[in-house]
Amino acid sequence: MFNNYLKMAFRNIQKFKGYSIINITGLTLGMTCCIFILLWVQHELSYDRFHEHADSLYRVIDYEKYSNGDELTFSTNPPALAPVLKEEYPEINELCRIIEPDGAVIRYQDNSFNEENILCADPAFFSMFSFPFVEGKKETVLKDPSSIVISEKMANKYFGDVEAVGKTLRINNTTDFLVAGVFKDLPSNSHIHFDFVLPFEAAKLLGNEIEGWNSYAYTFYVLLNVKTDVGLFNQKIKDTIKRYDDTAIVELSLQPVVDIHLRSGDMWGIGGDGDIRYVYLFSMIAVLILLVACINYMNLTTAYSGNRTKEIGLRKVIGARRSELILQYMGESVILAIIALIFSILLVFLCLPFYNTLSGKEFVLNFSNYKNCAILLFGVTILTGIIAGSYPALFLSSFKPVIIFKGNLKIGSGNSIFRKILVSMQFVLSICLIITTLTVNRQMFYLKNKKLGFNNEHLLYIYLPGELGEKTELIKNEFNKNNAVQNSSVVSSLPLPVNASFILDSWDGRQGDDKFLTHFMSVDYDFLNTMELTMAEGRFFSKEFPSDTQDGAVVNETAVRVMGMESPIGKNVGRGKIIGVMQDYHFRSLHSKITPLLLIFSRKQSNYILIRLKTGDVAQSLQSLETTWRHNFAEYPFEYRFLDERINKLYSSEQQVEKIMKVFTLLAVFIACLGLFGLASFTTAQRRKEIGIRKVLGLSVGGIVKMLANDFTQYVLYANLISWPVAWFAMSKWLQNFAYRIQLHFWMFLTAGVLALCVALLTIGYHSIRAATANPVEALRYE
Amino acid sequence: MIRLKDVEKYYSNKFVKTWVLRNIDMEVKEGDFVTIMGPSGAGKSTLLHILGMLDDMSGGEYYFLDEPVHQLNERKRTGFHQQYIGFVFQAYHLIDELTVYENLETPLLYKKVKTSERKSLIAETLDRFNIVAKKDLFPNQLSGGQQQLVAVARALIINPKLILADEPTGNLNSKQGLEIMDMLKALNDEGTTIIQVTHDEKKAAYGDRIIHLLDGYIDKIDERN
Ligand SMILES: Nc1ncnc2c1ncn2[C@@H]1O[C@H](COP(=O)(O)OP(=O)(O)O)[C@@H](O)[C@H]1O
Ligand SMILES: [Mg+2]
Repeated sequence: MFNNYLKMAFRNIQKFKGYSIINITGLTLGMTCCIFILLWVQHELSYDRFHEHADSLYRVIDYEKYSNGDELTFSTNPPALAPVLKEEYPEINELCRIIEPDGAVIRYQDNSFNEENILCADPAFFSMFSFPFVEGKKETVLKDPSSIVISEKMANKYFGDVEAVGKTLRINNTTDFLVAGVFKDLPSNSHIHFDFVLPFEAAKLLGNEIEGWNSYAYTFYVLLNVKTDVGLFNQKIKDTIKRYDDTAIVELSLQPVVDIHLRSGDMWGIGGDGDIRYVYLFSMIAVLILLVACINYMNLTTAYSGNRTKEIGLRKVIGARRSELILQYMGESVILAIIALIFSILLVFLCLPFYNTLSGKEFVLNFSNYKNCAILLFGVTILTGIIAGSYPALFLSSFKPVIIFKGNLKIGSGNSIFRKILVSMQFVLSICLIITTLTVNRQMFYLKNKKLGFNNEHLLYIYLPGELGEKTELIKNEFNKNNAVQNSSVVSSLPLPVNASFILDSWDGRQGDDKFLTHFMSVDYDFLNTMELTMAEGRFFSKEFPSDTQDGAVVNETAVRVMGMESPIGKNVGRGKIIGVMQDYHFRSLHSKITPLLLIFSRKQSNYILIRLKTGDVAQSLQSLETTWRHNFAEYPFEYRFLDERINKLYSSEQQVEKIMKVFTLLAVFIACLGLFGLASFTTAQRRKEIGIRKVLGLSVGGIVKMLANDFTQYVLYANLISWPVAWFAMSKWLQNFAYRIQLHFWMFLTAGVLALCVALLTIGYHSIRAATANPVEALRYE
Repeated sequence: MIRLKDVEKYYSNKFVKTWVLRNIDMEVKEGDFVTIMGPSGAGKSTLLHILGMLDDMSGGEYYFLDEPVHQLNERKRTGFHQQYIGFVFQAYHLIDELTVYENLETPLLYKKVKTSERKSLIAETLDRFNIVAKKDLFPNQLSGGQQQLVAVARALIINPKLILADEPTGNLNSKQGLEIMDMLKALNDEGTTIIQVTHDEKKAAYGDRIIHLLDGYIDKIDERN
């Protein structure tokens, strides 16, 4: 029986080639999209699940609520919390603190590089997390305070093929560390990224407090006893810090490590670049695209079912049960889906490199590694086949056997309402996707072009590791001598985004126990001019006022507003005196509103030098900067970045979404058109005779095309009615993620609708014109 | 075997009711060879379709082997198709996408006949109809006579108790037509019940009874022998 069906299926595919090609192409594209999206979704969901103890690993997170109602969650804690947690709570089996220093220069013999992916961690790190080793013993590596553990990639970079363990690496040109182990390069689905792990104590060398309750710089991970009830435990640890630090308002709780990537919201700290909402969104898009493909299949199959009425009737006459016919037709669509699966796997292999660049990930399609993935794929295929085949099967098998005596009926036109709904649904999806793409695109354009309050062009920065941070005068002087440099300034942290913050709880005119979070950075005299910022009131740090370096403070307008000061100049804020108010500039991503910012004068360590280049040949300017650098600081590598890159990074997840959205929208629209093309070829064939008669009666070609196009125009119009409100709702929600956002304009919706209409008309135009220009006598003779 | 009581059939199109069959009472016993005659449009095919349970009737009662067909569901009727009834149509009606062999095989598959038995049944039938050489050809590679031969063979392969033939020789030349008629006669002699529709007096003579239809009524019944 199965053989019989299989033969039937393949012979039918051959017999109706055009229609089969459209069907298979549609399904193939739909499934390819689906596989790509599933790869991404699976990758997002797989973050940190590779750890053996994934289910018992938690991160300690902090929650603060200020008197002005602002709330803040973050995931860093003071170093002194570690012994307290360990001693007071037996539920914690193991604990480790990590910190990601800004970076360091690492040298082996004559080679040195600026390295950014550095961690300092407690010894428990490698026993809590499962990062496999290729050299050395993970149990002991971090116990020795002068040891370092590096990734395979770095072992290669520094030592080539030679064994790495036992070699010495010099950090910031001062301190030696002995390579004690080499771990496998991290999988991309780890929320922490690092190439070097130093012992916890080394954090001090890299400029961090490693004791006390003041420095909220450390990420804490705990391995809980399996039997612990986390809800109850969260209640227990909530006030731990408050008990040791009376000024603290922070409340502790635990976040599962596997949730960090997708469910950290706008929490500050390591990881959390993902967003579970995008996972839902893309999963939904995958399903919808597949649905569009299935609808194509349903439409075409029912439209063309006229060709099979004779077979169906006959089969019934010779004893086929309805269930057997249903099985046969479902089977056919499943077979088609499997053919499509084979094609789409090929396609996925071909397009994977392109997709990897697009998504910035490194996906591989490896079935031995992804048993679940393979099962999933196969499941999706069968499901696609069943869904696509369901309606045609039910529809076809419902014919009465007498149907065979009525010839190949025009059944296709009979079920036109259902088909109208299906085609309209495809357009609803297409239009929604087009609107989404347009909105995301406009918003990204807006973010990229919004005036930030300073000039971000030709602005670059160089990280100053180790002792360079103390030679800032020298560095500035050397650069200022360079003709390519317009201005330069040394700063403690970068001006966008500013990461350092503290709770401000004293200022002149403070009401009650008001306190609020303010960001801060320490800068030098030239910061204002280098950034091209504007003062609103007062003045900036100046050499003419020596006291500026002691207690001068410059705040932004928002800070003044939050503190409620009338005339701020000369007022006390914290331990400083306000000498000037600068106009607000966006020092964080445009997701959030501008908040208070405080600038103080940089007295000790500065981590970065900001350089504004003169307009001119950028490549040449960079070259001359490098010459200056090599000349003076040859022992440090010359590595610069543009601030723009850093700004772009703030929106990397949205940019990814934008790119992926574009491609999938295009594909969805294409698949829908494919179906429309098939359908148009069918309906025009059906109406050949009518068209012939009308032509004989004198209707013009244009008139006929119009008549044929009318039908499809209707679909698009209905589709707009549904998709506009849906898209409007979804996009308003999405835009709420941004404090600064575009308005949804009517023209965007109209554009999407008109675009869909044009594409639809183009698609059916070919058939309509061919039908309209055909010789009417021919058409009439053949009926 | 078959009993019709006051069977009627009409098509209603909006508010117009078109009668095709009215007041049909007839009885067919096992082993009968019945011929239905009448002018074109008299309702002969419709009657045959109702007898074969391919079409619903609009009213009346129909008993097949004492089962009330007018009350049966589709599943039960399909069972009758599988077990008892073979059809031969004027326009052959083979499945175009299947070879001769596969066309013969299909009813057996639906009847769930075992593989070995199925193979021997098909071999036997191919042999009997002299179409062994054609078994791998598709219907459109055969002449009309050969196609009808295959259609008859397919009707007979399930060894039906009742054969319904609607102008089975209408599209064949006289020699081929006679061959088919002889075959039906031979089957009838072995006990198979046959109901045929024909325009041809000579072919009508093969039956033991002729029912004349006119405008949907039974005009008269000729008993022979
Ligand atoms: N689906 C239908 N709708 C309306 N009338 C029909 C339909 N099918 C058949 N008829 C009519 O029923 C009558 C009987 O048809 P049929 O049984 O095929 O006649 P015969 O086989 O005797 O030539 C004819 O007048 C035909 O026009
Ligand atoms: Mg007839």
